[in-house]
Amino acid sequence: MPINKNAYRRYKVIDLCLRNKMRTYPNMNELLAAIEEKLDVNTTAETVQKDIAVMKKMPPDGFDAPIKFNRTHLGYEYTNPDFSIYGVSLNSNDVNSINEAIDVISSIGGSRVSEKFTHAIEKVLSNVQEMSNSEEKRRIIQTDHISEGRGFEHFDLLYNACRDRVPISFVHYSYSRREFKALIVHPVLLKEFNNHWYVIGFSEEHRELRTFGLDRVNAPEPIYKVFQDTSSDVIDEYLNDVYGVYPLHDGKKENIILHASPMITNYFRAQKIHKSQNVEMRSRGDAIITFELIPSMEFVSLILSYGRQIRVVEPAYLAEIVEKNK
Amino acid sequence: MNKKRDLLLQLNVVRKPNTNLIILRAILSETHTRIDFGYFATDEYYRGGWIKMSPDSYLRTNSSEAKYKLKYTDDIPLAPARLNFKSNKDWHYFSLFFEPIPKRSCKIDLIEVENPQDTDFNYYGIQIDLNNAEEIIKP
Repeated sequence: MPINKNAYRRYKVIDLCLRNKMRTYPNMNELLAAIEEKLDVNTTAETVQKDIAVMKKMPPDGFDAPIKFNRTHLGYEYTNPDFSIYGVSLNSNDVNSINEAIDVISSIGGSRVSEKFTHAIEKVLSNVQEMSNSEEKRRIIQTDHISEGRGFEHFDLLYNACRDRVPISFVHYSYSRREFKALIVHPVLLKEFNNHWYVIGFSEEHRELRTFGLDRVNAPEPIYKVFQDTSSDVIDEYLNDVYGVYPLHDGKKENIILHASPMITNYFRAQKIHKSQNVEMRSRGDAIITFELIPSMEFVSLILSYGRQIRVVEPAYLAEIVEKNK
Repeated sequence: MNKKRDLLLQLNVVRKPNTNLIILRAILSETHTRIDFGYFATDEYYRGGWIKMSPDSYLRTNSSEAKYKLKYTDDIPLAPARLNFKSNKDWHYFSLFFEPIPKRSCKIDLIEVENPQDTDFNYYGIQIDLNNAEEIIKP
């Protein structure tokens, strides 16, 4: 017989009470009060007695719950302290930990995780919310994200293609060249940078590893074809040496020298933007900042964002690009 | 090659003399033939002009007289409705779904208008070479 939805909600509250290590051996009045508080309904001792009887039944009718009335403490208990009707026992610390994790996941979940994962989070939330107290949920963590942009709907498909090593045919539109092209790419990685998602993979057209913004990927179709794999060394080299996504020039690693004002120097000292970054302080608080990386449009944008507070010393072509875009 | 599966051909054929329309892919399935297009607006019009597709459009192959009619479209309106661009730098990806052509190598013509002007979306002699087709994995 299927479990009545209201009854199931009561079982969850009873289960929560029986697992509450801070308030052990709840008696009937406490169970009734908890149900009233959590579910905002009045119920009777007879109903709760029946609920306990059902919970003790073997599945599928019940949960085979080891519930016993403890005569010493005059309250109910699980004789197996690890038991939960969820199958996994969660104490109040566990629930708090889950809530913390959910805060983090929810704060980034808007744009950075797939719809499917968001759905899974919601399922976890729906269970945990009933278990946690009903005080108003206050946002404590906020990360910088924007809602899903164009192309994000392909996230799942591309994620699965990377995981299962499946080549993808898609139509790419280049903003800079104003050009459409149908491409076959063997994807290896999804990358997020500055709230934009990119798929990285071996492009048959370009015969090399390339990066494609999801916003420019149209109608991806997985195809039956031998996957052209890229070794993790090559992927690491491709990813680690570049700041951002789209390399400039000939995509070679270079020594870059910047001069930063005292104010901007603070930011670079506080957090490295690239593992190769080195800050050489000067007596007036300004600094020479060096990098060994592949410069990119994103690197140029970063320099431009600091205005006159930062200047490219070397290489000359990079200084020119920055100057031209000011 | 399993001809029961949907077959995908990368075409990348630019229309001439106006080169702002490109046939990107053809997908041959049991239920339809899908043609994917890319279009970018030009400065011929201040705000990029518009696009639309004649509901009488059809495909024909070089192996028969049969006409494979347009069934429906994705992201392009059927005339007289039209999609107006907002700027002459806009771009648009769209697909046309025709009755299914036979799954064999051939050349196809896409006819939007029988006596076309340069702006009509007519294409001739598109090579469908099944040796270059890829099979699509269905979910």
